[in-house]
This record gives sequence, structure tokens and C-alpha cells, in this order.
Amino acid sequence: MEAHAKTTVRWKAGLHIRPATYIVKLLQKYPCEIKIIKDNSICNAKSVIQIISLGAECGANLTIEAKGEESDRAVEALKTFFDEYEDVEDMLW
Amino acid sequence: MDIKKGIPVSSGVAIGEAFLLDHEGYRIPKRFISNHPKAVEREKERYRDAVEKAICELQDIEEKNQGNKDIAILFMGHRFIIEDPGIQEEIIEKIESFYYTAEYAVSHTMHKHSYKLKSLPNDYHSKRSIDLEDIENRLLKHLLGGQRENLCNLKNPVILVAKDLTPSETVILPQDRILAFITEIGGRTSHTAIVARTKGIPAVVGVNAATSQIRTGDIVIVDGGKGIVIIDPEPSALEKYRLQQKKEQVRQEKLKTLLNLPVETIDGYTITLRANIEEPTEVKIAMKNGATGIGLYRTEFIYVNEIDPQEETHLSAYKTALKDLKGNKLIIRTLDFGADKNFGLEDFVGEKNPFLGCRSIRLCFEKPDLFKKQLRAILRASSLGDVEIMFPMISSLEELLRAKGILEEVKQDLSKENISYNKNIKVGMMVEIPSVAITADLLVKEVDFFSIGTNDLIQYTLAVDRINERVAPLYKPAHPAIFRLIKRVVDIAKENHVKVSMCGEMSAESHYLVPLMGLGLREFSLSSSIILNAKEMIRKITMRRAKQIAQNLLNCITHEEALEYLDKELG
Repeated sequence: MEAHAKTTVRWKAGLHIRPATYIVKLLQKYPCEIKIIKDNSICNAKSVIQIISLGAECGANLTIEAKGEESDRAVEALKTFFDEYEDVEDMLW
Repeated sequence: MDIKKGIPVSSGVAIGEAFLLDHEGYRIPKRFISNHPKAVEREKERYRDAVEKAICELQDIEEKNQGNKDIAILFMGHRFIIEDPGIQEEIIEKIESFYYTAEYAVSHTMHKHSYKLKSLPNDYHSKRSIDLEDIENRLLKHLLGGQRENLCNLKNPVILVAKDLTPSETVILPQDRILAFITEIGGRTSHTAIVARTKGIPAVVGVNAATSQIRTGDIVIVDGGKGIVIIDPEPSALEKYRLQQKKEQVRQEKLKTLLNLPVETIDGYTITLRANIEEPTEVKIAMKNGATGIGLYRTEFIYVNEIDPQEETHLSAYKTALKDLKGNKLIIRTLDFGADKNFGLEDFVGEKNPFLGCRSIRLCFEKPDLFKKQLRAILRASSLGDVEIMFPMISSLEELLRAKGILEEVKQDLSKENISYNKNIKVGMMVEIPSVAITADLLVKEVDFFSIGTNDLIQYTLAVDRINERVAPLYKPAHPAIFRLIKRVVDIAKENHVKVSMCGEMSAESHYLVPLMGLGLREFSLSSSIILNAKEMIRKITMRRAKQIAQNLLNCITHEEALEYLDKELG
């Protein structure tokens, strides 16, 4: 099973350690492999260090790709997170 | 031969081999293990062990901060990074294939990733490399915590060269094998400077590019009194400094003859000299140097190994101090975490302006449980010796009253539990924020003593970050504003018959000590290593002259004029 989606980083501080941690936490329960792609960089969406190393800024367009069991649900959950998460850093800025 | 200039922070001459603590930005020297499979296995085990401990610690922090999910999630992020299979593989690979020590493998790997983040164009991302440094430090803490073998294995005494030393690092140094410190960062009152002076180790800080120009093994001369570092010295320089070293030894011997003489001026005014300490074991050093008690016990070091030490941990530290004090006074300052000595405590992550942030007493108000544990231990210790309590970073009457209120609650708890303590324990506060120096007349009625902390008072009055080497020249103790503030506090204390002392580093410099006496100060708390110097100065002067000098100094309109005048008067 495969699934994919497109999304955009809405947070002023970009995709930094806090949202990255929420993402990893969120994806732990899905057995599939899942990747986040920005331009030419691909990262494992279950690794905080890889996600923050993407350097995705506010406004960056990302592609999510999943392969394996429950791919569709994982992609759906991740997309919802990108749409709904309010970053605390935004409130500080 | 290459001569470099830095800020002199702890006098004395040292000649010896350099040891670079953080070459290329690594806190850990490049070290290898043997290629024997058993050694490799043992090193991997040490790494896994550190990972396990770090994870437990982080889970603990997450749990304790469940109420604040923004903090908890950050530490969960740290945990995920430590648990990251990719990261773990990289580190294990370095041990297995390159025979790096676990420390170096961790350091090398985290630096690689940190560098990657730093090179991202987004400013915010690059700043978050601090998270990786924090993770590195946490793993290193657990790796070094058990054995600290890297530095402890030093066979010969060395001159330590580093970018900067954190408080937790200075604690683990084998001090008997450190001849001198050279750091790139810091000023007179940075942590390294204070530790160096306490232990009487020569130190020069703010030495530009020291870690890139000095290599491990280089012969180096450190002149801690003048702030001079000579790399690879010529024979003539070596000879000159060896001679100076000998002279210094003679002088130290001479100072020792003052040990049993009273601390008084020629015209008979008695001055009390107490010591500043960071660890209870330093009481012995203080007493050996002629201190009559401890005027400032900085208790932050109790928090080095545990973020939230228990009441008993506190109490046992205070008992150790009291045992060696033999009836002399012990003034315990409550937790003063912040800025330059945060030991990686979670609460400081992300503070943009930690010196103005949630530090010290403010942190204690935020964490009353942590604060109360310490207060309970101090009160319990007060039944065992002459213990006084001092609150740091008070910025208003309300804060003072609030701190006293919490102390009162703790007293009542102890009374209810039938635990003995000194019901009349003396309570004082640090005067280190300009607002309370200005309004000292409002606070004086609520305390038994004031202790003027000049390090922060100068920093806050002059708006100079005391660990930022770029503005270090602006840190001017002789600025007219400082003398006026001190005079005001001393005058108000005397009018109200409240004791006033000074525990800042300013009184450590003999040419400031005299005018401070002239302003009316009679009690000082100093680094142990310079108590005898102060005593010598005091015994050479009359109070009459000290008062004159203070008066003339108050008339100087610039820092430079004041310094020039003091140089002329006191040499």
C-alpha cells in the first residue's frame, strides 16, 4: 500500500524541533515507512534529527510519501497535523 | 614565540605544557581506545549505558513538566534524537571502526549534525543547534560522570586551554594537575575566573583564538597578574618568568606569617574577612588562609549532579561545611541559578536574555517545592551551628517579603514536625540589583543584613554582560555610579543598625578594598586565595587615610580618573 500528499509549513519558526517531535510521536503508532520531501532532500519522518535537518522554513512546500501498512492513515494524520498544529514559538514572536 | 594578551583574572605565573580541552570546538579531546575486541565492546557498553541514563533523565523531566507541554515536548525531542537508530549507528560505527572513545564518538557525531543545522540558511534552525549541544552535554555528562578518565588520566600537570569552561566542567577537573587556565571567553567575574581565584590557580581569560593557536603539548607561560600568555617562549622569557615564579613563592611564604595576626588597620579598626565558597570541602582551604567564617556559600554546586536535590543532600553539604568551620559563621545563599551557571537545567532552554530572565530567586518562586527543600535543610542546619540565610537577586520589597513568607511557612512546618532549628536565624539579602540599592531604605527594615554583590550590581547598573568578552572593557567597577550606589547602601544600613558586607569580586582587588573600607564597609567575603593579600593591605593602612581616599574617589567623575587616582595613591 502506498499513499502521498502535499502540504505547506505554516509556522513562523519553520519545521523545528518541537513540531518535529510531535510528528515523530504521532507516527510511532503507524507501521509504514514514511518520508517527508523538500526540494531534493528526503527524510525519514520518524526521525527528529532528519526532519529538523531539512531546514524547512515557513512557507516551504513539502511532499509526504508513505509505503506499507496503514500508509493512508499515517499520511492523513500527518497532513492534519500540518494543517492544525499551533506552534508555541509563533505566540512568542 | 608568540605573545597574546587577555584579561588577567587570577594572578600567579605558570610555565608548562598546554592541554587543549576543546580543539576544533570539541569539548573532548580526540582519544582512541585499543583495537582489542574487548576494549571495543567495553566502550560500546559505556555508550549504551550513558544513553540509557540520559533517556531515564529525560523521561523524568518530561514527566515533571507534564503541566507544561511545550517544555515537555522539547525534551521528548531530545530523547528521540538520542534514541534515533541513525544517530546510534553513527556513534557505534566510530567506536567500532575508528576506535574513538565513546566521548569523542558522541562529540564528533553531535557536532557534525549541529554543524549541518548551523549551515542552514534559516536563522531559527541554525539557533536550534543549541539543542544538539545540550544533548551532547547530557551524554557526555553520563559518560564522564562515572570515571572522568580523560582528564583524570593526565600524568603531568598541564595548562588548560579551552573556549570556555562551564561550572560542571570545572568541578570535574583534577585541580592538583592544573597549572593555569587560558580561555577565549569570559571576564573577571566569569565562572572560570572565580574558581581559579578560589583555588589560587593563575588564569587569563578572553584570549583571542587561544584554542586555534595553542596546541596540546606546546610550552606556554601564563602571567595571570598581567593577563599575558606566551606560546613557545624564548629562553630569555623563560628565565625571566622562572625568576618571577621564585619571587612569588617567597611572597606567599611571607604572607603566611600574617596568618595569626589580627585583621586590623594601623589605627586599630578591625575588619572581618570571610571566604566565598562553592563546595563545602573548600571550607578547609578558607580556614587555612585565615578566613573567619564563610560570607557566601554559593549552593548551586549541590545541583550539579541532580536537578532537584533532596533535603538530605542539602543538609549533608551544610553539615560538612559546619564541621570544618569550628563555630565560625556560615552564610548560605539560596539557589542562584542563572545565566552563566545553569548546569543545563531545562528551564533555561530558549531564554533569549538569561541574565534578565527567570533566574535565581525568581526560579525559586516558580518552583516552591525545590526552594522549600533547601530552606528546610538550611533551617535544620541552623540548629547545628552559626548559620545565616541570604536571598539572592531580590529586586523589590515584595519579593523580599515573599521569600520571607515562604521561609516562615517552612519554619512552621518544622515546628509542627518537632524538628529543631534556630527560630531567630538571621535573614539577609544580596544587594545586586540597582532597584534595591536605590530603595535600600525601604528594604532595610525587613532584613538582618545586606550583602553587596558587586558582580551583578556592576553588570546591571552599567548594562554590561559580564561574560561577553566584547564588552568586557565596559565592566568598570570604579564607575562613579557604582561607588555612589555602594555608599548609599552602606549609609542606610548603618543608620538603621543593620549589618552590611560585601561579597563581590570587587573587594578582591586591593586598590578597591581600601576605598570600600573608607566608605564604611567592615566585613568582606573574598576568594580564599586572596584573603592574606587583603589582610596585608589592611594592616598597612589607617582608616583615616582610607576615608580620605574614599572621599576623593567619590569626587572622580570618570572611571579612568578614578583608576588613575587609585594607582597614584595605592600603587
